[in-house]
Amino acid sequence: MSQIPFRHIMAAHCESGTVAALVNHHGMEISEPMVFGIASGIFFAYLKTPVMDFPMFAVRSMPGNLRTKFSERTGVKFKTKNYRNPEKAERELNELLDKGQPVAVQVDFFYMNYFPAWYRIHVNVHFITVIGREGDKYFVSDSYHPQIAEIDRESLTKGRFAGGSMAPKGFMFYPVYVPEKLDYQKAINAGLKGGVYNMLKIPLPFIGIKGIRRFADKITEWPKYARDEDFLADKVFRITIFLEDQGTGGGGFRFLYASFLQEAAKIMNNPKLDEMSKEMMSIGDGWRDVSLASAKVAKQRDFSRERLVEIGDLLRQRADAEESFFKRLGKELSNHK
Amino acid sequence: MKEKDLVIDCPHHQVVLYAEKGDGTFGPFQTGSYMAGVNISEHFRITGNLSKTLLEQLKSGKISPVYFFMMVEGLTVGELAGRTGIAGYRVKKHLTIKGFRKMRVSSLKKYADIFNIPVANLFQIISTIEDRNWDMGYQGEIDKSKTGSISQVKTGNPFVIETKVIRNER
Repeated sequence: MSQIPFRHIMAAHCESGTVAALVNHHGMEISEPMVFGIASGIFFAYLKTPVMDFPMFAVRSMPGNLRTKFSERTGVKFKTKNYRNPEKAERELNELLDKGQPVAVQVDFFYMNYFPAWYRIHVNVHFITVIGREGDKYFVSDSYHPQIAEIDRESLTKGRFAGGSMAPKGFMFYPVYVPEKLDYQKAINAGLKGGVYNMLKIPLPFIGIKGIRRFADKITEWPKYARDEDFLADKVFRITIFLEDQGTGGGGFRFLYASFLQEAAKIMNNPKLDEMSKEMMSIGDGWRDVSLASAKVAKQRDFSRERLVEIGDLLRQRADAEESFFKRLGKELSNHK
Repeated sequence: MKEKDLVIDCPHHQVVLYAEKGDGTFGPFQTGSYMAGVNISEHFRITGNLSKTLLEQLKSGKISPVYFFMMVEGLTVGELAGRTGIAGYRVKKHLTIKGFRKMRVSSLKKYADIFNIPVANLFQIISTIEDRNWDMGYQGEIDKSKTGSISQVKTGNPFVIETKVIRNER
């Protein structure tokens, strides 16, 4: 066999893009922002544990959560499966492809050799859709690749069975039931509530708004974790990469979330949400300022306390703006019960 | 953010961003990556410096090849242990020349698989005239100017690689 006819489109983020593309393939016309918003992908966490050699932060919910929350809130059912045995995983993937079923798989991005070597890093939570095979090669729709890509069998298996933290363990999924009609109002409401919960109500000091504030306070400590200037520059550049480049749609997912709010406003016929979408876009602009300031600091190699405090202040402004935003969003949801 | 304010010219690394369109609606558009388009040279400088420093340490016997590839590929001891299935305390030993010397061939193969290199490359450094393959802007020049290239081809034996110098007949 060769390729299953599949509409490949680039997306901002691999998981929301993969879920959207798969359900679209099964007849549900839904956008990537809508998948992201319904699944309450908006998030923030700042992490530094004793086993971590350097702090890290996340601007979206846990990998896998987008699919599970989207499924809960829309009624779309996914068949999911993990494997211990790579041969069995490959055999079952092939069987599904031969039946014309595109299948999403979790992989280590490093082995996706259709990207240039300098771009590939070890990240175990990349999602791609396998849409066909021919001999020893597979055709994949990767949200970050402009065209349908080809990958050899060995590299795909290595990617699917990479070990380490959040190891894919051969994980794959595909939709087995897609409702004919979606209750958008209910799904969007649940998504919005989940977003408010993620940002305001998780009782941990490093999650949500509290997490952004912790990041703002702790960034001045970053030099003490760095082995040299190059290492620190790389880590500060990663602020920009995590906010702008690593599948966020820009502004640390805030632009994507603004698009969701605008779409939701139309569906719910709620002008207040439309206003809030503009506000979220402007919050995203502020995150973009954090990115640009970080890139500048890294490029100039000026890691003085004053410069890091400046980034911290920008982060604190984001925390204030998002706290006010999500509190009002929570109120708006209560008013429309 | 307006779409026009996010446009970056970088055909090598395209991303999808969401922005405000001319009609006030928000939606996706494809453009170049900010990091790749604006800061890539700095990124290559950082990775290049790291590789260069590590290579010197490798040549002078201060670090083992496992340490070299672990650092170049941005892995930690914990990650490498998880990926290879080798206990963390053993991985730590393998990072030193003393520990590397005592390593089993089966462990070498595990590391090589994770690093995505032939086992043989844990024992050799293949230097080319200009090691600038990391520079995407340079790739075209290499293709145009090279008179030959080094190719490593797998054999049926998982421990043996065939390294060939291929003359460019153009």
